[in-house]
Amino acid sequence: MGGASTIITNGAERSYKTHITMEGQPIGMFYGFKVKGMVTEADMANIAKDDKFYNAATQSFPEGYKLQGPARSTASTTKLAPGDLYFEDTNNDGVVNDEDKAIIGSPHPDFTFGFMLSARYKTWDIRTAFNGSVGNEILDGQDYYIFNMEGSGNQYSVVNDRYRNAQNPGNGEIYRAARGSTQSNSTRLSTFYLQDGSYLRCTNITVGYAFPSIAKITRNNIANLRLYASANNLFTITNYLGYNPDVDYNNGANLTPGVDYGKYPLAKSYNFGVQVTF
Amino acid sequence: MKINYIYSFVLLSLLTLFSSCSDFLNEEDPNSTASGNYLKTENDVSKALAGVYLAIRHNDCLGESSTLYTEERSDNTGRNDNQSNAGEPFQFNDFSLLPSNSYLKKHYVALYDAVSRANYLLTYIDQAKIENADNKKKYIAEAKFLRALVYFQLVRKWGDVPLATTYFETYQDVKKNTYREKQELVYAQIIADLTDALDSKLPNIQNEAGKGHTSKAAINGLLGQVYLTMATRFESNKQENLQNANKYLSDCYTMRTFGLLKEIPYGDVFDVKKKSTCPEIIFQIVYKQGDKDYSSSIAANSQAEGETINSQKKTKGGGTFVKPDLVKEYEEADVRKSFSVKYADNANAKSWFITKFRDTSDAAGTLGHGGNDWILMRYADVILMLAEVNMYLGNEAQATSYLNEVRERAGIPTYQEMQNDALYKSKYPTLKLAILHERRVELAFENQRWFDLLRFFNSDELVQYFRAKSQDDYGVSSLANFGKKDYYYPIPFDEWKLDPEKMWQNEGY
Repeated sequence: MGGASTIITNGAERSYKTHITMEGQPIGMFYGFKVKGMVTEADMANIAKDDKFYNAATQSFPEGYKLQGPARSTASTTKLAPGDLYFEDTNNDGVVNDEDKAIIGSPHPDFTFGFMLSARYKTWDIRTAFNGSVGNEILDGQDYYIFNMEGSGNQYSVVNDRYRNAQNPGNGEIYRAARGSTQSNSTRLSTFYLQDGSYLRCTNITVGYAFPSIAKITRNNIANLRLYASANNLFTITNYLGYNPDVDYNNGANLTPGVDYGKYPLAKSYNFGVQVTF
Repeated sequence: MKINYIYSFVLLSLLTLFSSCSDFLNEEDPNSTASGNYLKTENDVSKALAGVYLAIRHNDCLGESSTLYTEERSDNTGRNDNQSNAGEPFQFNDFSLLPSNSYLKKHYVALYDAVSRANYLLTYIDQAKIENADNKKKYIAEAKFLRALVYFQLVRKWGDVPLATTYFETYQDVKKNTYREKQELVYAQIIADLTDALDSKLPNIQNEAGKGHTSKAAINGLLGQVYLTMATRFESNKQENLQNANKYLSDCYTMRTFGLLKEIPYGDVFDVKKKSTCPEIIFQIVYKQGDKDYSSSIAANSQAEGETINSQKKTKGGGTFVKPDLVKEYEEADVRKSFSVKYADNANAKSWFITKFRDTSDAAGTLGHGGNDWILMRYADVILMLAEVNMYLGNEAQATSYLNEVRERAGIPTYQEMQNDALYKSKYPTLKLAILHERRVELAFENQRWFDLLRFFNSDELVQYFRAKSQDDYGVSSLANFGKKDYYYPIPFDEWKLDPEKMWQNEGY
């Protein structure tokens, strides 16, 4: 692309930047912060120690200062509290700002695959088809609303495992519910919102039964009679919380792949059939 | 046999076809005209000019709701919601702006959109057939004025900025011109554009039908303000800049159609019924009362819950937050205080809100489709700038006489009489600070305060000025965040990332 041609685009809600396209990397990689951990009660004393040296006007610490507590995010307008997530300070300057943004995930799968299995046993036959993808990550654009712990709308049920207080720290990954908590500030993408999009999907199973002596019974009027039942999209094995992990290029935006905006889920369908050979 | 004849006939005709006029096959697609070919008639040019005005009007550019980028940066108004999405615009008044702030980018893009449209008109106007040479000059003058107006915003807010004066058609052109040009050269371009614009047959003051268009008074006023800003920014040519500022501001002042400011009651300036006839207004953005698309919503948006003074619309929340810091700055008996701000007692408000812009008429109705024009320049501003210029030039008598003209209209004692007031004397010991104070209370909420602060103080003095304020009177935004970096906005993150060398980031970001 020639020289300084790094393109940073926003692919999800509002206008916050989510993808980066730069030399040496695939197109449209996820760009944001890496979650390093969750603030605990024990960290508060260290944060207070850091506060004494923090210069709010320049948003920096003095040269060579060794950080005691977790690095604070300059995009956050409320102070770090127990249950908030904190991000990786990649350049070790004590604050997390735009310079600490890095490539945090890839919407491109390591590989996609598909296979068919079929078997036959006496009068029964079964045919199956699977497909899937491994290694891609997905940003669910709707998480902005349903996974923000702000109380502005319904949330995923996993939100029950959030941090409540020191006695109920939840699963250690979902941060505390607060309108002003570090994550719900819509200015940044972090690994918290990226989900694993690997999946295995059974696209078709067909089971058939061929009547064995139909020829004899119908005196050769019907040579073969086979009943079959098939199901399309019977099941999908995935950790993805959204409707369908097979997300596209976000409606054709080439620079922002891997974003799910609630693409209508695939429908299961069941078919029954009869195959008659005269 | 026959086949041979047909064969040779076809061959012959093909030959003649290819040897005749070579652009027989060259056609233009009438459904997609290249931009360079579009301007053909005077009407096309007039529409292109309307496009520039439309860009200016945008709420991310200079429209009535663009206060986030200017007024809310100052110590007059601000936001108190620092949570969730509101955390992003909150950064402006909290002085914790991140380069990746999306509102910052929107403002930057909207300003350059206006520049680009003006450049389009100026680059291709020669292709259009305009019979009246005076009209052609007027279009050029208006486009140049608007371009200068926008560059003046850009250069004060960001410092060195990319300077484009022609319309770019190719990627190479864009790449070649994407670099931060030195401030001095941007100012030179602004001066050139405005001086050019004066050389036209634009009226001194627009008549009622022409309101919204610029005029010679507006050009003079802006030119004066630019020279005044240059005089305070740059050490070189200081005297010359001050003399020029004085000249153009005085020219603007001479073009007024009233005698003294006290003839125009303060309330009349913002009265919707008088907006097209009030002689104090020089340049404004016109809003159409009652229209669902082009009406003003500033009256309704400013109003707090339970109040009816601004608009018939039932409003919620605290309205536009006015900092107690400003409320305390109004002097006693100043009519401007009760006109501009009010305290809302409602449980969901309990704060001061803006009452300067009102439209309670039935035409605006309960939907709040107000008719308030957004004033970009008026005579009180020009008069106070004349006071400022004369103060710098050492003409104290002239300066105080201008200052008094504004004070008299507000119903408060003159500057000389206030010298006996201990409180006034302690808050504003110098004429400079007295003028700054007067500008603050006269032009509150009109997107002037931030630029006044930039003009009156350098970055070190500004830090001191802000740090000296009381946090209690300031709201949720943190005064401790104010530093030298906040003199300028940061270059938007993705602009900087595209070329970190030529679009270098401002210091402190």
